[in-house]
Amino acid sequence: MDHVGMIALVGNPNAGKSALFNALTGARQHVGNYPGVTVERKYGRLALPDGRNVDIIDLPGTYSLDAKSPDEEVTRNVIFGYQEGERRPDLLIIVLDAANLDNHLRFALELIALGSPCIVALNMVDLATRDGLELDALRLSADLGVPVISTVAVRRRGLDELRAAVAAALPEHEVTEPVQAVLPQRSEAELRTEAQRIAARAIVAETPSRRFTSQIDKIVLNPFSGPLILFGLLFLIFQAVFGWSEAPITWIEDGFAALQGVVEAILPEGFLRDLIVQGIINGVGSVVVFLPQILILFFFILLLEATGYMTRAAFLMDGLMARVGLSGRAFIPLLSSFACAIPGIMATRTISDPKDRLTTILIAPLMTCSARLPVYTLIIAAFIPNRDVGAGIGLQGLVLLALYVAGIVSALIVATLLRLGVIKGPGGSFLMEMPKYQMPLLRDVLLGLWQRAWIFLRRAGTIIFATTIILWLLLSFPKPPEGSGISPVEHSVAGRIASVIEPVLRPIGFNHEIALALIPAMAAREVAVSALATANAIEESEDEEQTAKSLGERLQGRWSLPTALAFLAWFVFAPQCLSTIAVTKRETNGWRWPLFMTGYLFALAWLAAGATYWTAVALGL
Amino acid sequence: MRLTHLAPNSPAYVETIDWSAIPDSDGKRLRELGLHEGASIELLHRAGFTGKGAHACRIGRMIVAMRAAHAAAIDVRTGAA
Repeated sequence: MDHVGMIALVGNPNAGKSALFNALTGARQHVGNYPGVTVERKYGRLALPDGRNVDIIDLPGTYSLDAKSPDEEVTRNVIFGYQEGERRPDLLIIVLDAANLDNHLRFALELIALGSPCIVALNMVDLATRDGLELDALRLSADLGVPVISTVAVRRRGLDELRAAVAAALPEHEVTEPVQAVLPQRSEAELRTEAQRIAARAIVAETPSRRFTSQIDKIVLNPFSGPLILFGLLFLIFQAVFGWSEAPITWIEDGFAALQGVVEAILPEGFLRDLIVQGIINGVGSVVVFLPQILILFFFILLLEATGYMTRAAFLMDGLMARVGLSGRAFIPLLSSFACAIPGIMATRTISDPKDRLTTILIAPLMTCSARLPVYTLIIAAFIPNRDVGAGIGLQGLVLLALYVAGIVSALIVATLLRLGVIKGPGGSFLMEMPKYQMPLLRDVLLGLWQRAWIFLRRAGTIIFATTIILWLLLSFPKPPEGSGISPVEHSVAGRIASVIEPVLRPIGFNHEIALALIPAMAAREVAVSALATANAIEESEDEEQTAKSLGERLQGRWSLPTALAFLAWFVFAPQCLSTIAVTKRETNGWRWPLFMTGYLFALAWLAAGATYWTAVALGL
Repeated sequence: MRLTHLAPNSPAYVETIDWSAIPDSDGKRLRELGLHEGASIELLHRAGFTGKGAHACRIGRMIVAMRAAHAAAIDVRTGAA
C-alpha cells in the first residue's frame, strides 16, 4: 500500500483548529503557500495508531462553503478537490467549538452533506464546561451520523481517541476525483434551524456561568480603562523589544566576531578570505543581529492572539481606524508590520472589504519594521547625543520614538488621502467574532515563533547572503592601479553606479557613500547597514586604526548631522524591500498597486529627507 | 427599539433586521455569525464615549463586534427570546 492518506482540518474561525493541528503534528509541520495565492498552507504528518503516517493540512477558517475571501476560497477549493497543488482530502476533521455548538454546527452540516468521510472534533470542551455547558458527544454523533470525539487541543486531551477514529475512518485507497455532490439545497434558515435542533439535543445541561470572559471584557473594553490597557501593553512590548534584546544581540555579535577570527586563522590572506570575512560574515551578521528584536515583538503578538485579546484591540481601535477610512481589523496587520511588512500584508487577507484591504496593504510599509532598526540604531547611536532630556527620558530613545510616530502619523494621513483619492469609496465595515479568553500554550507560541525565525533566517541565508556577495564584488572590483591613491570603492563598479544616481540625491544632503548603500538596500532595508559596513571595511582595510573603530564612529567623521537626520527621515518612508513589493504584487494580483506603492514611498522618502536636510541646514545644525 | 439604544447587559431578542441598510456581504456574515429574527441578543460594550464606536453584542452564545451603523439596523425587544 503506497498511498499516503490526506486529512484536512476544517471549521469556523476560533474553533481551535490551529491548536489541534499543532497538537497532532507537534514540530512535524511546515508552512508554505498555495500556488498563485498568498494563502498560507500549513501541512504536516500525523502518525496513526495502526502504523500509517498520513499528511494533514490546516485549512483557513471559514463560516460556510460560500467563500468571501481568498482564504475561504482555498478552503472550499481544497474540500472540493479543485485547489491547484493540493490533493483532495480523503477525510475531513471538522473542528467545532463546543461552547458555540449551535452556530458552528451550521457549517458542519454543510460539510457532512457533501458525503466525504468526516470526523467531528468537539473541541474546547473545557471552556464549554467553564461556560456551564454539559454536552453529550454520543447523542451528537448519532444525530450527525459521523464519529464525534471530545478534545481539548491546548491541553492535548482526546488526541489518542481522535487518532484512533481517524485510523478507523480513513479510506485505504486514494479518492482522486473531485467532490461531485451538488451543494445541498437547504436555505440558510433551514440549516440554522437544523443546527439549533441538534445542538439543543446535545446540550444536556446548561447553567449560566459565562463569567470569565465577561469579567475581563468589562475592564479591557471599558472606554476609560480599555485604551489605557492597550497603550500600556504596546508600551511594555516596545520596551521589551529594546530592553530584552540587548544581551542576545551582544551574543550574536560576539559569535560573528569569533567566526571571523576563526576564518582569518584558517584561510590565508587573499580574495576568498576577504569575501568571507568582509563580505559574507560582516554583511549577514549585521542583519542577523536583529533577530532577537523581531522574535520578541512576534512573541507578544502571538501571545496576545492566543489569549483572544487581539480582537479586543481591534474593537478599541476601530473608531480611530474608521476616521481614516480603515477598519479595526487593520490594526492586527499593521501591528504585525512593526515586525515585518510581509506577514502584515498577508494578514490583511482577513479584511473582507477590498478597499479597506488595499489601503491597509499600501500603508503597511510605513509601520516601522524591524529591518529599519539596524539603520535607526546605527545612525542614532552615532549622531544623537546620549543624554537625558529630563524625567529620565533619553534623547536617543526620544528620537527613535519620534521616527516610529512619524511612520504611524504618515500612515494615517496617507490612508485618508488614498480613501479620498485613488481608493475612493464608502468606508468599509467592521464585523468580528470575539473569541473567549483562554490561557495560551507556550509550546504553540514558541512553535509560531520558530516558524517566523526560520522565515527571517532563510531570508538572511538567501536574499541577504546573495546581495552581500554581489555587493562585495561590486564594491571590490575593478581594483584601482597600485599606488594610484584612488579610493578602491570609488573605482569599483558600485562606485560608478552611485555616481550616476548621486545627482538626484545630492540636493537632499546624501553623499556618494549613501547613494552606494541605497543600491543594494533595494533588496532589503537592513542591507543599507551591511552595505555601509562592507564599503567602509573595504575603504579602510588598509588603515588598521580606522578599521578598529565601529561603523558609527567612522560615519561620524564622514557625514554631517543634517545628512544623518535626512538619512533617518528617508528610512521612515523607504520603499526598499523587494520582498514587500513582491508580496504586494501577489496580494493585489498585478503590478499596478506595487508600482504605485513604490512610487509614492520613493516620492515621500525624497521629500521627507529633503525637508529634514534643508531645515537642519537652515537651523545651523 | 434599535440595538444602539439598548441598555448594556439587558437580555433582548431580535425583532426585525433592516437588511437593506446592511451591505449584502456583511448581511451574509452577520447571518453566519448567528444573527436572525428571533435570536437572543445582548449589548455588552460600546467603544468610545459617543456611542458611535463599535458595539460588542452577544448573539446566541457568540460575542460579535459590529459598527454602530449595523447595530442601528437591528430592532430588538427586551426580554427572553
